[in-house]
Amino acid sequence: MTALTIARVNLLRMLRDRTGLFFVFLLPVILIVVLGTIYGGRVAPRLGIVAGDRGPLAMDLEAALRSGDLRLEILEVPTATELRDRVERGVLEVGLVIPTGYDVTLRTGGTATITILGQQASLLSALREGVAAAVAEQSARIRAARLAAQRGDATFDTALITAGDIQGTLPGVSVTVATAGERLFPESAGAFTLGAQSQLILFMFLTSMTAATQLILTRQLGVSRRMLSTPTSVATILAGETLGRFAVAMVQGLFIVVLSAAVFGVDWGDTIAAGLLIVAFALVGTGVAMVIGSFANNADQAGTVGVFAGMVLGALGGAMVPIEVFGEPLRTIAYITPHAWAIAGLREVAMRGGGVAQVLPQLGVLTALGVVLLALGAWGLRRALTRG
Amino acid sequence: MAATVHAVLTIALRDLRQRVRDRSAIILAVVAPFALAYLFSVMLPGGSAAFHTSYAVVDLDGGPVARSLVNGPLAALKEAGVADVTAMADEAGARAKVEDGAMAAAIVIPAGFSDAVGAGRAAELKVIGGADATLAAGVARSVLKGFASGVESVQVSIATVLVSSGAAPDPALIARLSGEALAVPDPIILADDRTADRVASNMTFYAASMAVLFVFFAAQFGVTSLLAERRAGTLARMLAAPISPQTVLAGKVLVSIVLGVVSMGIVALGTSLLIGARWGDPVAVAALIVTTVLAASGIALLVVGFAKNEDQAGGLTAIVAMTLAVLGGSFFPMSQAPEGLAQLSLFTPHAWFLRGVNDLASGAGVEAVVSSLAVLTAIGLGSGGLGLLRARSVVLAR
Repeated sequence: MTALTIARVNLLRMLRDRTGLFFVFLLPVILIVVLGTIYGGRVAPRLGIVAGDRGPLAMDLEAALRSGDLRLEILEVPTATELRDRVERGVLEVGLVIPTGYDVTLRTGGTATITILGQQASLLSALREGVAAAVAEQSARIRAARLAAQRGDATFDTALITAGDIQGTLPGVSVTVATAGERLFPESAGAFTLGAQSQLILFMFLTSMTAATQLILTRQLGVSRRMLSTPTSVATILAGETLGRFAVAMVQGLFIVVLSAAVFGVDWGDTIAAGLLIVAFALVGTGVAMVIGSFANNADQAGTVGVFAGMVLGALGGAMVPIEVFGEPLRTIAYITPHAWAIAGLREVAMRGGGVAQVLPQLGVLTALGVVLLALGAWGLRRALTRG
Repeated sequence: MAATVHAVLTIALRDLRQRVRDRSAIILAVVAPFALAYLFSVMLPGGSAAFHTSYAVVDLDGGPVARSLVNGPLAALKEAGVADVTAMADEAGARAKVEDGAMAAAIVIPAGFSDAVGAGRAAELKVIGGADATLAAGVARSVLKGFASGVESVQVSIATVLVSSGAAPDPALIARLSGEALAVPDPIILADDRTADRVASNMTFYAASMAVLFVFFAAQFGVTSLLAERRAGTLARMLAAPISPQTVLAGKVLVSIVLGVVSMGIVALGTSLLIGARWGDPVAVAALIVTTVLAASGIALLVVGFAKNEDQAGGLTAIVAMTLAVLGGSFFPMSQAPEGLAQLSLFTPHAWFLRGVNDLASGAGVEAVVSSLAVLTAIGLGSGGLGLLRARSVVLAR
């Protein structure tokens, strides 16, 4: 009962600290929104077009690009200068300048030059192929129309229409595409899912780091000693402090899960499996907080170093960018962090429909780590409390 | 006048000496930005990288048209450094490579392809794309379609002439037309233009983004000490001396600016010397740093005006700094953001500072960052002006 009171006080202290509330509840949500907006909604590379010509041939080419195989996102840019600026800044992956007089040049037998812009090290060489395919298709029609016009069989314009019809009906060479293998992140996963999972893990851990400083203060201000002078056993205080930190981690975790599910439509998958993973990760966070809280003596420094360590472990564990984009050996090293295990588990549950059985390894590692840390923390705190 | 300047300097110097002895100030102003910049740039990928992928090619045909595809466009891909192209004997093996992710896509040329094309019958090329290699599969398909258009081009020309003229498809005429069709030059040229890039390297980006994130924490130390002095009663004692409230404020603002410049300066210098960040033209970088510090100090002063005590001011500053940093692109490059978010980011000093660094890092001079300097100064003077109005009442309400 007393343990519960101590836990409740810990939780209340968190809820009354307004700055803390921002970092515990609001910042993760802001980050989920920003991450989802930047990386979630868009997968297609961006192509900017300066349409120097609005003639039918120019519009035709633009239409072919829009429906092309690279599924490019196409944006019109007013001037070539602005296009170059945006390409240089990396806002657009590729730029295309269709010159003024494109139609007239092609109708009167001239050669039109389309300029394709990209940074030195960029997607240009790849995206160029998509543009080249559209150009080759139009080119074939124009060559046919020119030949017919040259021979006096038809006017260029009539022959161009004929060539277009023929191109559509010719048996020709078709290209089929099949897909093999399984997607890493299924398309059904919403824009906010990856961000919500990683921010949940990142911030639960960061909050535990700050909770550690509260424990140091509790000890140093003599609150624990005063508690001990009442008929409260060391075990009760231990249980209360542990429970308090665990409650803080869980409140934050549940807040992020419920809010992201309700507002951003994040699907966390099997409730029990996801729930157990979050509980196991909260145990790890609590354990870390207890260890730091009992062994460190300078609350200010522990706070700064703790947040710093939380950021680094988070980055290493794939809570900032997915582990999948790391190279080896970092990808393997990442699994020394609890973050990597927790995120792997949450992914399995949310994106591959895994249940408790599928995430047993992750649950096992997290629980074991949590128990070891808790034991160490409890031993340390008992030592700190009873030594005087 | 001289006495006022002296008083401002005395106040500032005393505060600065205090800060130098305060370890958490040094951690926040120097150690944290430096260490995080290093770690992030090593751990997180970023910047633009050349696209590179790998294709398996299964040529089950071996005829002339198939060979012209393999030796033409596909060899060109390899030459351009877009993809590694590996010949494989059978489709099943290639598909297995794609499934386990060893290859991004497989290109299959079925048996009888060359004959079909030669006879004008329907022919098919196959792309087997990996589930996560959408772009690589799209590129492969584009290459094949471009090739197909070239192959079909002569057929389209012949058919167009026959339809237009109403002539009978006589083999001799077709042979002649095919020669004429091939002689028509390509009407459209696709010219490559490799632009410069105004995107700082990963190392430089994180050095700059962490510098601007933490300068807000460094700059707050100067002005928030107003609140501490008010609480401790030293503010009242200072004002009892022949020192005006403006002088006290000026001293505190000076401390903020000096701390900010020192923090960003050390990070810029340190990351340049130790971890290979390249910030660019030192004079322009210095101007960018000073105006950014002005903005950070102005905002810190404004925050102080709204806070009751230094703890609250510290918390509020942290909130404002983190929010601005997230929106301003300190954590995720805004070049990747959709239009709306990118526009929103222009309300933050971070976005203008990082934009300037991107320009300078790619070799531009001070003239390229004039707009950044102007906006940052405006933010500094605007928020600082409002802040002064409020902060004056903090001082007077001692």
